[in-house]
Amino acid sequence: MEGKIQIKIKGHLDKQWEEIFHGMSFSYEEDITILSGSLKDDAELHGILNTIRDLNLKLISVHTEESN
Amino acid sequence: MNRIRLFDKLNEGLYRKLILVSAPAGYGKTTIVTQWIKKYKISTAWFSIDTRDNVPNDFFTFLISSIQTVQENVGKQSLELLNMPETVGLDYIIELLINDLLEIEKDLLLVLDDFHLIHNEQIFKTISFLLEFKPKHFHVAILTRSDPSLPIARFRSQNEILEIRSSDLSFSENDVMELFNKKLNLEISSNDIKLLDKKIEGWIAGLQLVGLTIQGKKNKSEYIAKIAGDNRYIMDYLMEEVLNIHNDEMRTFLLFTSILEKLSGSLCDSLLGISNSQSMLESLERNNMFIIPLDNERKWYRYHHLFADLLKKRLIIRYKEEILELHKKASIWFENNGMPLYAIEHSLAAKDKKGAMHKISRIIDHLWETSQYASVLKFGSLFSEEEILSCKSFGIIYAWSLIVYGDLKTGQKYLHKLENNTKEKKLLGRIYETFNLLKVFSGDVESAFKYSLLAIKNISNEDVIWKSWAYISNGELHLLRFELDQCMQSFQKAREIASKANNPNLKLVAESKTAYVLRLTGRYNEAYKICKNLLDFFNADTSIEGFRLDVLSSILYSIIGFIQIEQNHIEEGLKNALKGFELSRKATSISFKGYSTLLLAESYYKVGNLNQALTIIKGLEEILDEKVAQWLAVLVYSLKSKVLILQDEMKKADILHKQEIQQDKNYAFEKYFYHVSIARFLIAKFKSEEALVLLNKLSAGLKNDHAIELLIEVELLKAKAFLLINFKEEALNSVLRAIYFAQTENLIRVFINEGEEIEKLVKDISKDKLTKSSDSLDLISKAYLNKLKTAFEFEERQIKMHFAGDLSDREIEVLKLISNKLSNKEISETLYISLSTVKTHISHILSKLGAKNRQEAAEIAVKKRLF
Repeated sequence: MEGKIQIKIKGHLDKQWEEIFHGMSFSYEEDITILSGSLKDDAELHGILNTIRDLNLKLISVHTEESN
Repeated sequence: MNRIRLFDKLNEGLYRKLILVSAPAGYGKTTIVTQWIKKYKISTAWFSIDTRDNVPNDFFTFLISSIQTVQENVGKQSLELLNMPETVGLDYIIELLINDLLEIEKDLLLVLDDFHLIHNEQIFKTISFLLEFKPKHFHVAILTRSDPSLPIARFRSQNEILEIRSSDLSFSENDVMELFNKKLNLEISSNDIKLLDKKIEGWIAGLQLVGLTIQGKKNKSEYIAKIAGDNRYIMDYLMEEVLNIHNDEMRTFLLFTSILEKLSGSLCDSLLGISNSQSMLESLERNNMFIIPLDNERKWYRYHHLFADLLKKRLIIRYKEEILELHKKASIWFENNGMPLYAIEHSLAAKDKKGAMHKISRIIDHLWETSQYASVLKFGSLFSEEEILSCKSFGIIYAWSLIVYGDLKTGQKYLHKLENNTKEKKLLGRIYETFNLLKVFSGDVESAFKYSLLAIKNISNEDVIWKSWAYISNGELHLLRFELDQCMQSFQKAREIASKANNPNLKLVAESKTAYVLRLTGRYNEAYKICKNLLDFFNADTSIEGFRLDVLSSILYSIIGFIQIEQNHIEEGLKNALKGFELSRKATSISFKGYSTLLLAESYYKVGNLNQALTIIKGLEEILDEKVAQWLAVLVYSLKSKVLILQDEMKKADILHKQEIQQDKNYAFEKYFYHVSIARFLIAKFKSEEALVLLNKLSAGLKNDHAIELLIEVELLKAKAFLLINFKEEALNSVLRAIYFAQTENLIRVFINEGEEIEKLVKDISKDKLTKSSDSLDLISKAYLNKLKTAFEFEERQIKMHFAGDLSDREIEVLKLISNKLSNKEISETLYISLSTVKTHISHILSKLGAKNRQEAAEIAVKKRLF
């Protein structure tokens, strides 16, 4: 699946983490971090979700948009 | 408190199939399980998984090795088999392991730590199988960050799983109080504790970091308020604090060594250019700095994964330029310390692809010799085409692996490019041999042949293994072209060269192929001798472990058994053929398993048990890949057609021939066997003239090629065809010729299999021999003729008695217990033999009686009055 992705997690994740999250860009809303970027395929998405799991970050939502 | 409740739960887990501890990083999964094990003194095998363990063979090798740290006798055979990749099926290996575990008498716990790193389907499947048939005293605990692909829902519904999840593990306010105020003596107010617990939500790693960093703080309440009020990712905040409490030296040590998956004093020394790493590691351990010893000698450590991730991230931020250099140093250390796979990984991480390739090229021959194609393909996927082509010795093996895994197109592309850029003879020879493999896989016999000649020409005699393979492939192609003399020469050459290498597998292939050609050319005694000698040689070689010996000797027993049967030593022969077949089931290689299976089917055919022969053929057809073993497919077809016609199943035989006729007959080997079957079919349909035209052509060709085994069969068929049109004299002459070719080798069953007509002709000849003399009669030995006659007479009597008489005393005993409806386990207890021995006995009984299952065997036993 190729497309755009937006992931919300609880708490502010430092911008220095962007590189570790496959170069996604971070923005903040209240106490939420929004990770957005483009996605190569499902495997990349799972990699990102695994990183979130491994850091014990609280996942709030995942939104993907398929491109044609 | 909390812990005690968890211990109770874990204890209960010992009565379930699986203990699953599933929670994110830093919830103390490892800690709670270790404490429980310590408290209840549970004998434990601990397997810390890493990402490299996704190759099933490696995974189960480590799994069994860790079991052996507590039960050294468990899994010995399984481990030996795992060390021979691609010869033995994984399911079989795990069955053996389960059998071993059935015999342990004390509880044994296997912990699979960090199981979330596994994503290989086969490993999931095999673990499910292991859990399904889990012996009573064997227990499994899986520690993971996410739920694994095992049948967890089903286990839940059957109450067969005990789960510990993050809600069970997280610290309650009371736990936090106990940790900070009783254990660490920090005197923190209950309000602050509440504040902390709300912020950190019972996450143990977070609380521990607070505990570490708060100790030097003057105003603890203020610090807690700061933590609680900050909405940064909590670990970022706490890690800064952790690094701040250490001096520069320790800070650098922590950051730099975070690139390592496992740390040792010497390794860290070489990374940092210092000499006190060991004491630093030990002091980190004393201070609970998230470091875990991997062995009792404190030689290897690893950081807690979460801690390592956080360190690594800081390393990237602060010392980005140094990282490549660190990996380079690590790579050098691993290489100097004999751990090439780690060295390769660090070279790759150092972006030193050239160095990595160089290191791979040093182990590539070993990978090829041990058939580790999956690893070769994995390495290949990390490099560009250009990089792969730049290292030819790797490129060749990469192409070989691609072909074995069925990607002929890519394999071919690499081969062409390699061929164009290679001048070195040795490598060129290997390229041609790989081309040969490609052509064999795509069914192009002529091109394959051309390449095999080039391979032989270019590969030097010092390149022993490649050279003998080149001769073996060449011999196989001669065989397909039915050039038996040249075929023999090639296999002989392969034998000669292989004898210089200490490689039993290669030896076996070369010798058993030679034995097959000897058989085709009617030299049964020589074939027998070769097999017997090699069997003795293997048995005397103490460096071959028990199980490897079984797999290696399987084909030899099968050939020996078949030859004994042909020479009418039925009891002994059938015993050996069955033994070979049983042993070959441990192999995964189709040429091992397929050939032994075919020989058993042929043996059953030879002794006249046609149903059993067909059953075995059916099993063989399911596993046979015609591309890999063309000659085997031809022989299976030929035997099947023979059996069907003998059973008068003309419709089925008709269908079989029609299927076969549609396929192109590319090479002489196939044509010969096909035409013999057709002739047999025509005779059964009373079309003797047509059959004779075909048979006459065949016998001329076969005689010319010295293919005596088939020639005897053809002469006997000719006799049958002549009889149909009342040409008795010609029929007698054909049988005379068959006898002439068969007598020196004492071949008997080939006559008996053809039935009454041939029996009558043999009897006539033996009468003639007493009274007359002629050129052809005089060439025949009287002794042999008598033997043949006696064999026919004996057979008649024998047919009336089923060969139930072949059951050994032990098998009769087991059969009695089966009839009394005892289970395998009960039988093993009654007779004081192991479960696997019981199973072997039963499978022998079933095949000897031709019974489908134990019930049918019991019925036959009653019918035949075996007791």
